[in-house]
Amino acid sequence: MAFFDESFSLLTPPEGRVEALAKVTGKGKYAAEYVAEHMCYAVLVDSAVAAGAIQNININKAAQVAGVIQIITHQQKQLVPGFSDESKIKDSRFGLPLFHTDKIYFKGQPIAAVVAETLEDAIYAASLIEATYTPDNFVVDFEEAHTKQSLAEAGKERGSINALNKAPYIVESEYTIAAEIHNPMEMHATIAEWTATDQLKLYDKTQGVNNVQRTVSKLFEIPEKNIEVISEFMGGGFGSGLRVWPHVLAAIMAAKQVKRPVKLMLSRPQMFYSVGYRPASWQKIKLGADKDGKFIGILHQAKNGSSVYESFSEGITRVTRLIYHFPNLKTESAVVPLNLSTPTWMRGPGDCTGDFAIESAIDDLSYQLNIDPVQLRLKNLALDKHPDSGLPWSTNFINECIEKGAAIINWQDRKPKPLQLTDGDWHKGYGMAVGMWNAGRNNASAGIEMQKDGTITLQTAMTDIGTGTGTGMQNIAHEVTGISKSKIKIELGNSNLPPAPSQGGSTGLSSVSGAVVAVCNALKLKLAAYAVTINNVYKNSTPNDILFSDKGISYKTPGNQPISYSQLWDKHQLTTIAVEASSGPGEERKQYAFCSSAAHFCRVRVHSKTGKVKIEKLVCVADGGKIVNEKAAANQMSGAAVGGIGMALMEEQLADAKLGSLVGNDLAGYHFAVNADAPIIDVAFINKPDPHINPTGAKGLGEVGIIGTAAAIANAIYNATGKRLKDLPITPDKVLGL
Amino acid sequence: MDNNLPINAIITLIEIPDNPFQKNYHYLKVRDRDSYAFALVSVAAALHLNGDTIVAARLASGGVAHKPWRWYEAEDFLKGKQATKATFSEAAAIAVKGVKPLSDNGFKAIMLRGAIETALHNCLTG
Repeated sequence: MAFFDESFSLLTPPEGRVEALAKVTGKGKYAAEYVAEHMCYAVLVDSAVAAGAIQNININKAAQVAGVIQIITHQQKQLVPGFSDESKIKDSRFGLPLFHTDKIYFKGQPIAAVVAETLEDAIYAASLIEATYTPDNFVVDFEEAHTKQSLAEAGKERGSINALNKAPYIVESEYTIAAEIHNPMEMHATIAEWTATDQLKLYDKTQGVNNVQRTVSKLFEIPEKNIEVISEFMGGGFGSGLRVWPHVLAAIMAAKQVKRPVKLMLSRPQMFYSVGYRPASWQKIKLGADKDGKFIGILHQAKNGSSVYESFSEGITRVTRLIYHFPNLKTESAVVPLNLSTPTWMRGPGDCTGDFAIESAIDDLSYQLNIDPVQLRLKNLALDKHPDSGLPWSTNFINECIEKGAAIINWQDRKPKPLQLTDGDWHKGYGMAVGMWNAGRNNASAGIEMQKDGTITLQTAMTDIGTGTGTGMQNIAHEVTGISKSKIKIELGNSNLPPAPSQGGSTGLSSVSGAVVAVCNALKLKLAAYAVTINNVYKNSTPNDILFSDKGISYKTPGNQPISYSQLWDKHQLTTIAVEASSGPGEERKQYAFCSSAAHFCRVRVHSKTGKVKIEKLVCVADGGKIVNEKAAANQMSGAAVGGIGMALMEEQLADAKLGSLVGNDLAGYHFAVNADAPIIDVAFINKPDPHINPTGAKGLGEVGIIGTAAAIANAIYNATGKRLKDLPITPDKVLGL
Repeated sequence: MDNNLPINAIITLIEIPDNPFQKNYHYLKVRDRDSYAFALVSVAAALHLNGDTIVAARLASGGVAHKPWRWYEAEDFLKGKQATKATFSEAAAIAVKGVKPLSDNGFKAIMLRGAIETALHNCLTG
């Protein structure tokens, strides 16, 4: 026990991560772990039908349970100002008008919230709510529904797609991917506390505290600054924390109504229909090349499922317009409304789906052409410019990723035809695919508080969802200032800290790193202004002239004696020095295109009698610009690769077409990959800074780790068995051809 | 669970008698993921061998019925046969001969056949 009781400091990262000790000792709190005085508990009651309207909700039995404080339904609630009429509901873009409608859009839609003194009381009372419905027809079967949805143009046609008709080599295929659920380990939870009639405090599992602030401010028509949102630690996000979901609003409404802090945590089964998912998709590719393997053109059509109350387009064909030169190109897409909850971004959203189809089709084509898949790709990469915008890439090292990956996996051992490598009843094969992502950056701010002892606290509102943002920030601050890492403390995930964008779309570190550099420079100038009273050399100094060390501040000229922090503090009678700075994208976005990329290589064995696929080796080489912290970056890549294994081989959320409910929505029924399914992932980086994206040259990595993984695996299965499997997940029954 | 234990009885010991199957046996579980998942099909196979000759065999499966299922006919067939791939393949064919899959699990019959063959073969190699 002693270990867990020891006091520790966030200043010393033993495993390289600033938050490591806080997490393993349990002292770092996740949203549901906070305790507010007089806190009570809310539990959501889900709709039992998939479509129709609520006739009546009988709360009498539930209300008699000892400990029940309040039951909220669409009939019994305080009006949320942002939902006061239809047009406001639409403007709010919140999606589900929680407790403000009698309409039912999907099975599991919250129809009531029971608030009680204990969680047990609330769960029991929730089970006693009796609702009657006027049911309506519903559709949850994507496979059936998508055939009735017509396609519309997604982006401008390039050249003429008719050119495909003359292509001597053509692949024309359909691909499907089952719906997948994020399933972060930590379940979504919110503690809402109204500290005054227009003042709200939220402990919330979210990837963006400022986004929660904005959304809630609109709904309740109170100023953003009146809402404090805390999300200091997160047990995984993967995209599910990028929106404000109905349960968050339920907790806020409940807290307002009972005038006490309310905690609401989703159950694991509720996690499957309350916080988004990667929607089921259908794709069709027609890809043509000349005899030398030069691409002539591509037609990419894609459809994804959504809800009936919101239209969510995955952007599946975006990646088609990114990696390769297709002189002739047409992309089309459609959204298929279903009686399911609204899907959302899930790791590598859109691109990871579209990439599976393209990279499978290219592999298919390589066998037709009898050209090595690596060579076929190298031949067609758009290395000179972004094929759509025409802007030159700031940097694009996807070719180097491919070459490095091929070397790591010993690609030369691959046989050009299937069924050539066997080991008893096992067939072995090699496959590869690439992935790319538009590398973004947003405005972000950071602050520093410095003490007399030379320690600094580096702050931003951004939440570290597990990627190592805090550790990366510490590394950057150390490099820019020279202050030892052990003297740099990190504070994240609170809306009272300098504002920052949500952590998503591989923009987190890319955005915040600029702010960290800016605030470090601001600190240098601030201290220089004090130092000038002691040594005139600091007059008109620039950040590059100034160095910090544990001894104090010094000027870059050789032999310059440092001025100690205590001398500076004493002379000016300082307590804490505080600076804040912002940084964001600018003109460079008009001059250059930006991308992160990765090459994935895989060696599989496939059992010919049982259909079992075992991944023997998985290599992921990524270009994420400068790697700020290799351990954290590699950790992120291997996590993504394991996610890719799940996508390729097992992840599948089914819906029951007769009942409208999800099937097996728990961690036993829904399979994501576990350690036993994955080898140690071979991760490598190109590690060349992007000179234009931000002051550190670091680009995001979160998405490219999974974009291409599933295709690499499917392509390896083809190389092993000669079976081209186009429907994910590739479970053993499909491998057996059944 | 079915049992005929008297009320308040506690099981303190289970004795497994010495048997001739402890040298050549294999358990194969085919599943969508490699841990924490139900078997699509599973096979427990054990051979009592005298040289290359099968003296007796035990063969059972999970994931194919509401309870573990013994393949008696295949066990009988294996008795006295040579422990070869061809024998195992035939035993597997005998086992699955009468299985009737449902509308959504037709793959199980074929997977089962391959799994039995593999499990029997793995009895020889461990």
